[in-house]
Amino acid sequence: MSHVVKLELEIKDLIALKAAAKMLGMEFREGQKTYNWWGHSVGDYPLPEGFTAKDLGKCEHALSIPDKSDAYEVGVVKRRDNRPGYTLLWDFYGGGRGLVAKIGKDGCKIKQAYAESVASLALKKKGFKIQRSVNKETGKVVLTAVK
Amino acid sequence: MSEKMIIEIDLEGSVQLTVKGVKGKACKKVSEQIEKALGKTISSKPTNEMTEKPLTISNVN
Repeated sequence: MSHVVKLELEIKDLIALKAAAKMLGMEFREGQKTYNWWGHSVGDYPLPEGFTAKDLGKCEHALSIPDKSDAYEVGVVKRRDNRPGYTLLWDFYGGGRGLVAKIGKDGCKIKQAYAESVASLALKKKGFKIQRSVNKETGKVVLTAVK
Repeated sequence: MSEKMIIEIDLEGSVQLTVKGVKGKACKKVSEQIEKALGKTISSKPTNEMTEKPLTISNVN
């Protein structure tokens, strides 16, 4: 029997997140407790479950653009919805001073890079050889693993 | 037949994983750890690959 599984990505592996940040030319700043943002929430977009405006700007770790000190950063914070892992918080206003170009709209690039990183690590551990390709039309990353 | 796993990651952060070439329940076991590492399973469906008849090509002269 062969099967197809659809998954909702959860960020649980900080080593993979660190690798994903590197893939995008960013830096994982372990233990950084605040992340750079506008500093005030106008409340015009919903926050992840369990978070309020008071939590913004605080984090356990951060993702930063090394050569752009004025750019906003991504805060890596533990989830508060009884699911395992972390959620990513960032200020996208005005493109986050260059941050959105790096991580993609809605963080699509960092999420994709994280998924690729975590999948590659897990597949290698299980002895698979991996071939990577990107669909230029859809931007979809395809990892073909054979053992 | 070798074990093959295809992982497709779209720009929305959705992941689709396809396992091929593994018979029976072992198929689930092959992907279990990868699924767990990636996140929460939304759906899991068997494919009909294993019930398909192999293609036979005859040369008629």
